[in-house]
Amino acid sequence: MTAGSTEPAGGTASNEMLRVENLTKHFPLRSGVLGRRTGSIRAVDGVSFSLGRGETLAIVGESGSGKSTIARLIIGLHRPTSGRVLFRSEDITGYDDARMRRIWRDMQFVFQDPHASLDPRMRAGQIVAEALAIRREGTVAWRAEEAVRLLALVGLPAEHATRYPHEFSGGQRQRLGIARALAVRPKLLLLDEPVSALDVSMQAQLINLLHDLQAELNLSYVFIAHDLAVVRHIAHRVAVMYLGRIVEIGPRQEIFEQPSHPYTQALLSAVPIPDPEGREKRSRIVLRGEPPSPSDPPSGCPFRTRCFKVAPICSTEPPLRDVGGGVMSACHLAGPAAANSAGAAEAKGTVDA
Amino acid sequence: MTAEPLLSVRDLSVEFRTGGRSLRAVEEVSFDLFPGEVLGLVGESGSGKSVTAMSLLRLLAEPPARITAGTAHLSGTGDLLKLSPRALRRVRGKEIAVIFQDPMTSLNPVFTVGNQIAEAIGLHRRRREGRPGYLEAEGLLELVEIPHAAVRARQYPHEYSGGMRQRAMIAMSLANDPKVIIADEPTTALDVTVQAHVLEVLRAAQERTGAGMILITHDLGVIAEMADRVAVMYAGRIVEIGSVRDIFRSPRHPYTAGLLQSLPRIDGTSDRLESIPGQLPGLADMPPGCRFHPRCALGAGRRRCQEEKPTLFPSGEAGRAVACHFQDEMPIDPAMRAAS
Repeated sequence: MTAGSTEPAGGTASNEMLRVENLTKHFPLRSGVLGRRTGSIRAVDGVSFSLGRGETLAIVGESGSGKSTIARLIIGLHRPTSGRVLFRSEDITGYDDARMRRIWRDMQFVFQDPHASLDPRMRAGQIVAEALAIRREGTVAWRAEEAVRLLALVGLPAEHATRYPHEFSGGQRQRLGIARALAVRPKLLLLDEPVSALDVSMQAQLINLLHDLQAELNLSYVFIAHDLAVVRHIAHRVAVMYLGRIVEIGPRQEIFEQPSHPYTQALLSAVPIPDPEGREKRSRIVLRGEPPSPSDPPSGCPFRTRCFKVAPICSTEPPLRDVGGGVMSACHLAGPAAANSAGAAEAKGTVDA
Repeated sequence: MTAEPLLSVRDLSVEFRTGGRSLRAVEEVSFDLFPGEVLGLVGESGSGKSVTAMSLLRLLAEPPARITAGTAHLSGTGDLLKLSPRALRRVRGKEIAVIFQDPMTSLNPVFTVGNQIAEAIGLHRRRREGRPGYLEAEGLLELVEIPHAAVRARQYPHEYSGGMRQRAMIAMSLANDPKVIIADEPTTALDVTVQAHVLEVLRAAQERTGAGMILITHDLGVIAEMADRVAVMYAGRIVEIGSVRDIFRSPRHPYTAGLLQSLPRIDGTSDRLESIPGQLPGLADMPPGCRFHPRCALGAGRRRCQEEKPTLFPSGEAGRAVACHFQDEMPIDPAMRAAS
């Protein structure tokens, strides 16, 4: 991380793949027969991060946190209200489709539900070959061959090339979606909840596949997920979002082992542990308030309505600041990560009592 | 366990008829539910966990579904699978309450939540006991930690958040003091911080009423937190059943072991996960013999696994049963964590 920088660490300038600066997206809220603008949903509110080559940044958050909107802003499916997106140092903010087409060769999107994004009337091989045709490369025969190679790369045997999407299981369809995304030889994959719809035994296969592909092709991933356990196995760095903002960002180990933000602490503590031993003794931070609406976020710290550590200072907005260990945290009360875990244990006690 | 079971299911088989074919979704499923316990039914898509539970209350559309064999004895009532429609209506919501994954499909959008809870109480009450009102509904909403219950009881479902709706469903399920609560993926649609609260409320409600609970989920974490005993299902059959501690400590069916090892964990330390090779079989192309054999390392190339269906066989600790021909070859205490 660059010393003195206000932005979270990522790649150094030379191998930086993606940089997002102060990204903001407000969706208008309209009502009445005239569709007058009566307010706005602050889906993404001043988000900054960067991503290096071959690196995985996980963006985690619950519903309404704005994590998927970020991915859509990066790929150009939405236009940001303000802020900038830089892809390999090129400012692509507000590019139209014509100019984005060149960018999309290097930046691909994998959706949660591949079924919705795969043409049901095309065979698997054709789906991948079509993506190759976009690059206007090779002959028809070469593309068909290349499609089979890409299918093999994601673990689908050659005979599957003639199958239609509905003949695949959920896990295989997700592999097909990845093969198609890889066809244009991208450098960055935006993965929006890629394993959330899959069964556990399929999830593990896909996570391993993503590791293999990253190692082989030096890919960068933006991995959007709500499942912290999955993130633990895939991310290098983690950004935790709450109501459109990053509340904490840092290296995986720090985030999981010494979370500094009370929301991260509550989020981690809420995950059910697949181990019945000692479950009675386990203390858990249970948040009781209802999550606020992004159309009407609380003033000051957005988490203060549900926070178990809330203090008078929380009525002012906490800046994202360096708390040590490469971690940036948006909490007035967050100390250096190490000193903080004792405080968290104390807080658990009071909440559970 | 020495108590009499509340519910005893034996050899339950359920088929679906489509396109002139019969597909077996559930095959020879047997289990007992004891008073005051939480029995987890865990499995992946197509394992038959929901079909099993829904067939107990005959909530499946028949046709295409058909219960082809089995009994489900509810203490004090008799075989649920042989009840008349009238008798079934008396059981549903009274003896056995169900909590579904999506409360929006079970709550009526045009009535207030309090009204609907009062209606649920009134359905199973004699006329001379009087009409239940908002007051009783409010009491139940307070029980599931819905703040300002008096105000909330007069609101409509769309005014509730997802977690509150699910807690309201729990309140409704408690309305008639059921003997058995069936919770079908009750927290799957919820965010993790909301899930923690709903599970806590569900656990408190179950302990308070002393009901037996069948908790259906695909999430082994939820099972580990909530269940006393667990039945692991694969492709329509129970492959292993026993106390949640025994099964998580030392799974004796290769599928259970594989499933536990493939779990991503927030306390995991390795990037890669152990994975079970192959795909989940579809209903239309169930492998013969043991349904898990094409993906099983233990059964690889073994004829017996390809030809003969293993049945649940008592194994080790009391109440433990495993459906694997070669369960004796399973390591006794495998390293359960993928990380080490």
